[in-house]
Amino acid sequence: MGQGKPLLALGEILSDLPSKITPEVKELESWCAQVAKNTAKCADLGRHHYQQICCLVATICRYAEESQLANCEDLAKLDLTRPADITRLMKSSLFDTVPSLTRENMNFLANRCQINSAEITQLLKHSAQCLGKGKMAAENIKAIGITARYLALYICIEAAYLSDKQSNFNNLAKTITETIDRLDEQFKSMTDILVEGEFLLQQLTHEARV
Amino acid sequence: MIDTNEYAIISHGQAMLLDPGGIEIFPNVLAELSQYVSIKNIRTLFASHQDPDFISSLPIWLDLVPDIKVHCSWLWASFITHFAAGCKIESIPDEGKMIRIGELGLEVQAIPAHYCHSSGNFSIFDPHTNMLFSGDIGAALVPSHEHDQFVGDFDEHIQYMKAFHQRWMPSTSALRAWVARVRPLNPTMICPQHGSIFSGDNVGKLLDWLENLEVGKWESSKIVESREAVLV
Repeated sequence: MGQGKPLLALGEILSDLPSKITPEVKELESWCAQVAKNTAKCADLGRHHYQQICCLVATICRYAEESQLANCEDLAKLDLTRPADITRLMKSSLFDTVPSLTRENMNFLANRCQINSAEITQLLKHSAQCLGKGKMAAENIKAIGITARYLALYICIEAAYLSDKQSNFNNLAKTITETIDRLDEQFKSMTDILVEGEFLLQQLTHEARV
Repeated sequence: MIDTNEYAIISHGQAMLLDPGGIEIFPNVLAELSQYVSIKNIRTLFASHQDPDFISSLPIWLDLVPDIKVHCSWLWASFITHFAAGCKIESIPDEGKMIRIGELGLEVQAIPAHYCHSSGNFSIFDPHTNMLFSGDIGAALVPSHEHDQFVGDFDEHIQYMKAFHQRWMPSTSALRAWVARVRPLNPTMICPQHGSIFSGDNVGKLLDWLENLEVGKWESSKIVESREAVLV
């Protein structure tokens, strides 16, 4: 009599775990989806930026005299993904020979490039934040997994006191442990990618700083 | 990558781009156009049909001028938006319509050219200059070392047009109908999207040649008869 009461209690805690995991999984999914959206937007903006910068450079090459091009070592060091470097390019003497309408258009284009570049930087920063939050959700799920593993262990301990049907509970504990092991592996890969992504985004946003 | 010609009509300081081209040539197209019109005044964009060599640069143009009006066949309106999500298209009905260049410019005419080659296709006729922008009709694949802006010897030029038209144009009757539609307009120039421009006597020669050409041809001595043949 009274056998199995602890097991019932453990069972209740265990059956409650999925309802704790589900919101964390949704949270993780939502942050990853946001990163995917931001990445797609960045890719688009990046492509636009690249084509627009190519137009600026093509215009310079068309109008700048050869002697000017030969002496533009400083400009060769510019990083045209940075708004400040685009400004430096537009202020260079290479644009002196460009006709006024074309120069007005190139200024318009340069302004657009700077806006796109700034937007890309914001999206990357936002993605870094999302990845950070995704990492937290992944850690929360992992913690729930650890709880489940302990519960499995206690199930085995309590099952040892039963007069029969011990094997059922041992199998249950084994299944829980194996499931958590599999999840741990997947989460490790996921966490590694999240960490790598965070690092990459930090690098990109550091590079893009004015 | 296939060579393309990009045209712009500027009227009262505002510009209409006709088939502005693919994404990869955008820098050169804009660099050239920047000499003639302010970017902010590029107000109208026309897509004769849906091919990417004509219109894949659409999202970059919209990035620069978000309220540019984009005109194309109603048939392709929901397809072209795959190039630029959220883009508002001014659909052209099958019968064609007049299109104003920007808000201040003159009007040009969208002439039906369906099945030449696309099933929803238009040419643009500028009644002020009598120039006809014919898209793929009259197109030629000319080797770059032989390419001139204008067609010189029409008979020599045929070799660069024939295979293109026979393979790309699906309907002889549609092509002839287009010729019948266009002749009364008396164009002084026909400007295709690939190859050289036709002017003077060559305009009539082109129309005569198109009228007598059988198209929609594909002949092969080999037909794939088995899955293994495809895999090999």
